[in-house]
Amino acid sequence: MREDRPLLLEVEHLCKWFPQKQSIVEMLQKKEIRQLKAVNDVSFQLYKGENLGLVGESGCGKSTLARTILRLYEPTSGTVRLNGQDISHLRGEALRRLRPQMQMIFQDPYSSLNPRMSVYDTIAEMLKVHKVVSDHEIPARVEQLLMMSGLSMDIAQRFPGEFSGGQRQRIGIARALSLNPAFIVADEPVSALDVSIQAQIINLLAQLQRELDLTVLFISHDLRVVRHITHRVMVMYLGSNVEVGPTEEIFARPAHPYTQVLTKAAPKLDPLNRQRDYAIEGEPPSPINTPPGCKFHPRCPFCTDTCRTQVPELREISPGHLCACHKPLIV
Amino acid sequence: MEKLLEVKDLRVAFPGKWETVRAVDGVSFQVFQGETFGLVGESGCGKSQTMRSLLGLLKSPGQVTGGQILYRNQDIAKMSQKELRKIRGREISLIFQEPMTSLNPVLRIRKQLYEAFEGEDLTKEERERRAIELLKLVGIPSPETRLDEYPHQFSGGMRQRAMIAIALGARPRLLLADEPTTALDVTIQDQIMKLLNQLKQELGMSIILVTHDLGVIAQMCDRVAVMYAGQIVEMTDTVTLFSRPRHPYTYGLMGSLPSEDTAGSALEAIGGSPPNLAHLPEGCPFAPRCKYATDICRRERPEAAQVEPGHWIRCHHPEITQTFQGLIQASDRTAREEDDHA
Repeated sequence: MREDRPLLLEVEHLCKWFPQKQSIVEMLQKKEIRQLKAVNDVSFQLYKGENLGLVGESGCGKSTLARTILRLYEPTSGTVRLNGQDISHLRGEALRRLRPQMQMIFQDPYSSLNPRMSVYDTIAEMLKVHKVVSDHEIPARVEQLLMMSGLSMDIAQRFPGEFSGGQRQRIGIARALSLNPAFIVADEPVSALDVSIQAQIINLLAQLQRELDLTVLFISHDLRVVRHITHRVMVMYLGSNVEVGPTEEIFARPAHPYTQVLTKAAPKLDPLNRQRDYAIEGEPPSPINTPPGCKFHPRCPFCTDTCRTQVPELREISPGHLCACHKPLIV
Repeated sequence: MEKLLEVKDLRVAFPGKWETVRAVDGVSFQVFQGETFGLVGESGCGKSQTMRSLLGLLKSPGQVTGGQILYRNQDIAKMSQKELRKIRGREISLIFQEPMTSLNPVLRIRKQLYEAFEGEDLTKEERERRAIELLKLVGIPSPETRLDEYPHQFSGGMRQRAMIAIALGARPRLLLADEPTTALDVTIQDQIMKLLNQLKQELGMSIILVTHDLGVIAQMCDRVAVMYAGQIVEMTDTVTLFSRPRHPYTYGLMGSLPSEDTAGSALEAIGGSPPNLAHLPEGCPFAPRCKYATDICRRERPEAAQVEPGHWIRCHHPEITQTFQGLIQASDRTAREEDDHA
């Protein structure tokens, strides 16, 4: 836990629901509009200079949570505070001034760069729009950013189509860093890359994070990468965070049965240790009709009657380690 | 064990207007009855093209330009489309990475399953019974009702199960699985890997598994070939590969993987990126990225050579690679085998 560091981001009871379309019959019957609860009552803190991993299966709300924090979506309820300022419902000019403070590195380096803009223009555009440096300083700043990302000024006039996936991801990183953001969301930044290139980008991200003291929310479904690069981990299931804690503790002593399943399910790199039993049966239910009580109970091997009816609260089970479970695996 | 498939010096090329891409460049391997053989490598290394050529499914303008593909002593590479049709599905079957794009969205699962045993003379009841049996076999709950559903009504994991059921419909001897778990979540990936392992045992079929994930290889394969730039650079049994890798590329791949011990330290990334298959370097294709490369590596292509029985590498410097330490201890093997015997 990094409580000695200043608090950067505070998320409290954040919800993002998407109303579902109704048929005319349902409208006439005045049925209640069904909600897809993509993010439902998520609370956590992020400290300055920290790398927080966000893990969970596809559709669990990882990306929606990140986008709501970045204010690409407006939250349905709850608050997001950045450096103490409530940003949950900012609009217009105030929201525009907020943007440079929060940046994103995307998963797919092929679709997140404009194919008709040179590398130089891609990065310089950010500097111009947000006026972070005066016009004559732009070339020097672009060069500095490219160097930081392991590229050189030689490639500045080339276009994204001429680069490999790893190089494009480096351009994406240079762009995200261009405005000196306080906070970066990296949404699956290495999952589209090959293993040998993946390692290069992971090393770059870890190095930049250390050197620039970046605060990162690192979204990934690859637990090996998360274990390697993050300080703390947050596990999401069906829109809610079920466990948060220091990375080593989460992996060594997971408290939530779902976390245990996730950490066990990744195929082990050991042919002499083949997993013989099913780690877990079934698949996550739809986020529109979530089960009552603990949302994980239909798949949980330790499920009791309490789990079927009562929603477990997120509570601290050891310093800095929070878990939402009626019967945590460690007490 | 009976040899089911033998690929000898297979070459696949994609001729273009200005240049020819040599996607597969002299690949040889054998697959025995009842084993899982893994092909692992990064995107563009030729693993999927090798797989596609086994069923004559190369996309135009790709073509087999040399070598033999002997399936039970018949050369698939020389077969006509008509002859190939007798092999596809019945002898050799294929499952793809993305089950949504390989299932027909406008046909019910029932119809797509029936197509698998179209050639057989079955009554209506027999077909239905067989279809239900297949869905049960792959672990789809309430198969009687799911038979009449469409692919979009299935979840990702269930679609992949349905794909496998269809592939198994005509009881093939050899199943080709191209990244069968890549598009799935870890928990579902785990279920599908176990399903394939269990089916292989029950039905006694062979599997060729193409993947980029060494974890999947470790969990499923008996023998493995590591591919780089259209060639097999290392081939051996899975335990040997993980305990004593002998090719610098295999070793580099293992070093690039984050693990519980690497937290906080830098990963040993392989520098650079894979070569352009239309302009391969003159010597060893891996030489430009290899830490141990010498003059001969940049000048001459290494031939495949055996470094110990059943362990092949394409490298000029087996004496250097002898010192490589794998991800697991080789001594574990004997200890655990003794446990198994006891």
